Amino acid sequence: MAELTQIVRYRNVFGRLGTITMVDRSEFVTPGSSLEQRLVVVQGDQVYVRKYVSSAAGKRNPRLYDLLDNEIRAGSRLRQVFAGPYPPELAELVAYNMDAEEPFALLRAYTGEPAADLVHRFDDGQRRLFHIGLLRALQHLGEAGVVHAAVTANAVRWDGRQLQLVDFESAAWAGEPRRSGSGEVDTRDDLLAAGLLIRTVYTGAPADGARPDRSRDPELLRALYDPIFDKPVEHWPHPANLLQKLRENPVVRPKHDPEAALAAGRQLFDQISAAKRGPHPVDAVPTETPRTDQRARRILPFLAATVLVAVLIIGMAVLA
Amino acid sequence: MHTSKVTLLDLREAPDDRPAELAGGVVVVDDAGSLVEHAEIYLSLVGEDMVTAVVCVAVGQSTMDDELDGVALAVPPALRHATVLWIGDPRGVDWAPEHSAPRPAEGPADALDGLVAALTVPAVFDRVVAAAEGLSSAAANPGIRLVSGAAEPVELAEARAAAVQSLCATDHPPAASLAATMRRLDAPHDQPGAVLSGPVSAANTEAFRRLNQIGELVRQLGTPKALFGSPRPTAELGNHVAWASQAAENYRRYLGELLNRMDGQLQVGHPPVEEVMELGVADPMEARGGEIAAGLRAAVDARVAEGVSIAVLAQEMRMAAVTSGPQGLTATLDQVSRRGPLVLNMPAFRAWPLRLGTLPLIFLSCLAVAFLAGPSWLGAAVGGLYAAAWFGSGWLLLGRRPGPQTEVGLGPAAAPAVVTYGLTAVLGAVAGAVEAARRAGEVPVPAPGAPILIAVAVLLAVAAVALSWRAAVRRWQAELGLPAMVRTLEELTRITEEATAREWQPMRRHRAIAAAAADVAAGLEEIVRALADTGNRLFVAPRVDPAGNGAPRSVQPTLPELYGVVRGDLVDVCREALAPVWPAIEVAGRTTPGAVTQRLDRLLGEYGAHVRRHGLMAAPRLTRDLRPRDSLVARVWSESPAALAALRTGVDGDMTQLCRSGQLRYLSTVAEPSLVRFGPAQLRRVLEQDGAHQPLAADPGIVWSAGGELVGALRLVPLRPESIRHVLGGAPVNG
Repeated sequence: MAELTQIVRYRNVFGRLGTITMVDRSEFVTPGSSLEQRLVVVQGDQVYVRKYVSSAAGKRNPRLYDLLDNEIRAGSRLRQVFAGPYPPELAELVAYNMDAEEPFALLRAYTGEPAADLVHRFDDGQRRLFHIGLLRALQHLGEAGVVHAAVTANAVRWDGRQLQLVDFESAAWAGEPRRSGSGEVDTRDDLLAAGLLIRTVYTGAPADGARPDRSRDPELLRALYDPIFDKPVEHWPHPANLLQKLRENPVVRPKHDPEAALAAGRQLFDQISAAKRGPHPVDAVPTETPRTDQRARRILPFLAATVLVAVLIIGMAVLA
Repeated sequence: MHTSKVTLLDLREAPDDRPAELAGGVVVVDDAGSLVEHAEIYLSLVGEDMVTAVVCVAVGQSTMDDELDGVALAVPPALRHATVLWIGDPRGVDWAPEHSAPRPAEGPADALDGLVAALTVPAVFDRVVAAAEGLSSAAANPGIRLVSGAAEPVELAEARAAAVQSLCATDHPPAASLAATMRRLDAPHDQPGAVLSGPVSAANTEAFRRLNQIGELVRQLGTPKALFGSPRPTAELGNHVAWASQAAENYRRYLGELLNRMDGQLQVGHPPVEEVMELGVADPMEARGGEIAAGLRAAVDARVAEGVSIAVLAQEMRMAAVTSGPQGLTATLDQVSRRGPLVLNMPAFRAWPLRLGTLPLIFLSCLAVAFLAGPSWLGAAVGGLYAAAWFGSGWLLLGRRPGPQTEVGLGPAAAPAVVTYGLTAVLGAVAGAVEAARRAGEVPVPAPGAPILIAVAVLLAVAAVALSWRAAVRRWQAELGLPAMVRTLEELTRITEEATAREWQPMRRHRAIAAAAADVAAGLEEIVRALADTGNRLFVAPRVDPAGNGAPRSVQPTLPELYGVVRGDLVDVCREALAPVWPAIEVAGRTTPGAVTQRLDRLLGEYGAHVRRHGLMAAPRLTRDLRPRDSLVARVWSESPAALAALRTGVDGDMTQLCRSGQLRYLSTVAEPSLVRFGPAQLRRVLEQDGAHQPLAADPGIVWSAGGELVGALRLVPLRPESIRHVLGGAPVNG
């Protein structure tokens, strides 16, 4: 089959426009993706994953555009936050174009293979590395305020030592209303799915229920994931806490706040708004302190005794 | 004579193709016309020390060119010491001497094949040799009535496919019971509990010593020693409480650090064991590989005996490996961390140990005593002393009040004591004295009963002081929380000791079990893969599926008992293939990947060869449980009345005589024929259990062979002497 070369316009993760030449190489499938994917070669030798929505597929299922949009938003956010060394546990978006006839996202070629077929053959060491890798991925996502929302063995790749979380097509953002309608998205939302996946890796039990019978699970898993399975999300630990309990120090990567450039403008806005609203009412200062009360209570017996004695003296004097 | 092995030698097609070494019994199938030509071969066979007996099956007629001379067989001298069976016709004729005329044989197969198959059964071979020796003739013509219990190749292939499918199936969820059993392997040899020592134990001792010391001081606080003793418990009570609090928190931190180090070692192997032991736990016990291997093997055997498939057992073993390994002490560490920091608060002692509420009592009692004592100097002295006693008591209690670190002291307490108790008492005494002086003469001095009333007032004062102090002490004790602190430390000690006994002490045992279980699981997974591959090449049915569409057929064995035997044999083979794993576990080693597969391939090959050679009814050497075979025998033979009829056949019964009807004239009508009846030993066991057939099972004339799938009767009819020609050195000599 002849190679198909395309010159396409793209935006990098910071929104800047550019043009690249893409050479189509082969079809590419991941079990966790609903989008069409192909492997492409850009600028000679670099292989990338191109996720796209073809015109035909987009007509059949317009929801695919939303999935691609989620992938691009999550990838851009992650790449902007981790502007320096990028966490190898996460798929890395390089470029995108949502304005083309066939909008696409270009991601650096994934590592390893889909983990779904591999997890049942892990030895002790691989199991631990997988566990730590998944928690690290969630830790980085949490730092960027992104929730994957579809963490399963299908969305995870494994190369023998390193895990990679891919396919952010269902991604959500911390603070947004949950799609289920119950409250706001929390950065720890992925932990339940991660707990189920880890349980599958350790016990071989399929992750087919949100509340499985965990009474026979290894004690280590129960100790780590009991709060996640038994308590509401507000009481869940963070991935960093779990890593600590696994005796693994969380990797702290230099982060960049993409909104820092807007901070000065926002501050100015706040100042102008405050000036328009007028001065803030001053909170009433409490006039008495508990300490004063305590002291008054201590003095009270003295006063009572003095009064008593005075009354007695006066009484005796009157009697006399 | 007891022959353990019978070798078949067919000289008809390739006389030179003989095994290098022959041993045991030998059945030689030869053309009757070639016996003389093969005389040297027979000579060498008969002369071979390791050959116990030779049965020569001579097929055809030696002198076909001259049938009218009455000679059927030319026998070389070398066969004098062999049993010669002459087969005039491989197909034979059905014939019952003296009962029925010969008629064409029924059935599709040659009777000769059945005869040879029966002769290769060692017990039948021996009996035939013995029976032939008792005959008067040098050769005999056999008649045979045979029933075979061998499974059809198609049935065997179906049973194998079903068995392999059953052993590789993962349609049942893995049970967690194995994992629970595994973690307890060799656990009875664990130490029953954990004893903390070293720095942790010292911290424990120090904490409890401090707390006990406080307990003793608190007890003394309610006694007069607290007010008058030296040293007094109140002297540095605050300091003692602070020191005890510090010691308790110190002990908790030691426990936390101990658990932290143990957890690190259990989870990631760091810090080293020595650094954990430094804090005061014993060296974890060494794993006992032999016991672990034995326990693991028993667990595997038990699950296999319960009918679990090898694939599901592999999953269960993987789960057991994960669950059996060291689990860390995360939960216990959390528990200990959550309890900290431990603080034993020094509660504030009552500010006025002699309550200010007693001031009216002080005033009135002083007034009363001074009044009762009268206006004299003596009276004034008594009133003054009484007032001084009230003041002194209040001052003393105030001074002995325990502060945050030490007691308040008499000096700092003097001023408040004077202002309160002193002033009140003096005023009371003065008022009493003034009133006594004012009423002098109105009442007798001293007043009647005054000493008693004064004594009562004194006792009242003593009681008020004592009760007030005791009440203050009790309230302070209740606020101190010493018992709660003791309980907390005991609880922390208990959970740490329990965690140490549960996870730390058997750490090496748990690691060994986990590694062993992983090794066994890997072996089982190899077996499943190999079974699905090599196992499915066993007993391949010669018939091709006529549908030919390649779709997998639903495998339903026609005979459940046959399936049971094949599955049982395959399970035994799998169990034996796993054998190299156990010695490796005993020495804490790993089995080489692929070793189990190689062993399974070899064992499956042996098993296939065994079935081809001896049939399925003969138990292979690996078979442990004979019940499936007994069931199969019972089923096969119970559905075959012909088998029992064959066993009951008499010497003149209906059999397939291995000659043509025209050749019956070569047989002797004078000499008595011999009868050999035979059947597999499993059939005898089945018959013994069936009351109706017990006489048959006890019949001494029946040979019960260890293996074999043939039931039948063999009649050896001697040839007429003139039908045999002995050929000496090439010159024929009539019998």
